[in-house]
Amino acid sequence: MMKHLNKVDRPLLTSVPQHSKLTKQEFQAAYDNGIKIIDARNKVDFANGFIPGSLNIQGNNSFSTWAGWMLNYQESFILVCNDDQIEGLTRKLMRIGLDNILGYISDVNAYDVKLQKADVITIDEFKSYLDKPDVQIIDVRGASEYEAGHIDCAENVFVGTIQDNLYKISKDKQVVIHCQSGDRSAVAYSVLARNGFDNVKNFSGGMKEWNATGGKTIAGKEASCSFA
Amino acid sequence: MFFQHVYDKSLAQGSYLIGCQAAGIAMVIDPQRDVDVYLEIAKQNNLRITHIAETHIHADFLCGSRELAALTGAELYLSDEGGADWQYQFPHHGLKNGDVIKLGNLTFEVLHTPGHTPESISFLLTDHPATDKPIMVFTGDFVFVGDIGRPDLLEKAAGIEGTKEAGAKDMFQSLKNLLHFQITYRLGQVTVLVLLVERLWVLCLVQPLVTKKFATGHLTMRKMKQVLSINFD
Repeated sequence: MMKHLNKVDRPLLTSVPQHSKLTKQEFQAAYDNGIKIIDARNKVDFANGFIPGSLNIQGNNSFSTWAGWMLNYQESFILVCNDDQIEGLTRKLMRIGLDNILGYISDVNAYDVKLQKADVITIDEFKSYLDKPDVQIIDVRGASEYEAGHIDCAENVFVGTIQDNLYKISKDKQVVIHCQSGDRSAVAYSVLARNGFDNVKNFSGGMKEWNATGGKTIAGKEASCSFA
Repeated sequence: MFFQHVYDKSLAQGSYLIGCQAAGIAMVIDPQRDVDVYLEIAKQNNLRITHIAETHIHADFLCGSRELAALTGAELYLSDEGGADWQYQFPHHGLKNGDVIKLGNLTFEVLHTPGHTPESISFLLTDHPATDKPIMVFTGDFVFVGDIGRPDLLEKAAGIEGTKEAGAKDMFQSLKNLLHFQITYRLGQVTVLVLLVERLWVLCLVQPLVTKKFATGHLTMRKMKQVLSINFD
């Protein structure tokens, strides 16, 4: 898509847009219309209370990467970030052609919206879910990372394309997701929550913690599991 | 000669502002879309941006060439190589292999270096009052410091099927072509470039193996060492 936009005539954006903080009324109207919300806060802050339906893409160096996977060029969206972040995030987004920022908010508690909490679990709790037939473990890392070594029984659904692969995620079983160190699984958790999955837990420590504590991995493209 | 590298670490995207102070003019290669950074650099160094060039049609960021052109009145210099499917569809000065862009005392010779994409070009820079030998080459995603570009991405990411074998062969030929140029200055980045060229020379001895490996994915120098069992250092 960007290759196409770089080749053809397109609208120009000759300065960095200055986005304003939305008023309570503006936010509420947009929210009621089902606008997408990109919450750029730290994953821990997000997990402790987020606006239902919002996606957690942390405002770090990977922000534009995951925003590029999660947003399209047509839809408008709201950012959740601090005043000192909005210009930087606007720049990051305009560099990949995502210009449709409606505005931003900073305090998720300031609206008449009941916040949700993310179900983040420790490695000990994670281990208690392994080798169980009624549990689905989803590794949301990239295919090559998964292939190089994954936890036995874990299936691979890459976070970038998870929106197109929701049918692979069980609605009945207990689903536990993880990535390498918790950033991508935070994105994936928010995508699943947005799509009505209320049976998901996030093992945020991921492969980093798993490997550091001597967890076994197996190589290969396919998930192998005696319970599958 | 004035030279400044602008790097966006969130996208790992590099762009360059190169100026001729004698003429007071500058060229920007592969600008990012928020172009105020180049306007500021030019202003601080009493340069006027008159030329904008791209190494190829980018797929990983939206290039700010046209924004910068609209703000400065600079002319666009873009590849006309690569065949019908790879042509820019807005007004520009079309570049072919061997063309030369003049920027005051500087010249940029255009090298068609397909492999990463069919229309990819590189710019071989010579600072004429100082020397008649090139001192830098701007390669886009054709070669990197210590690595080479990926010929498989069009197929993988952009969904254009059946291009990676052809891309790998193009890449190999482009690497060989680069070896004709003697890069003699050893300043800053250019020292690295000399090393790179020496390494690439070794690669040319083992074409079939390398071509095969290219086609299967990302070939880093580290992997090459493993594949070829050659001591590069």
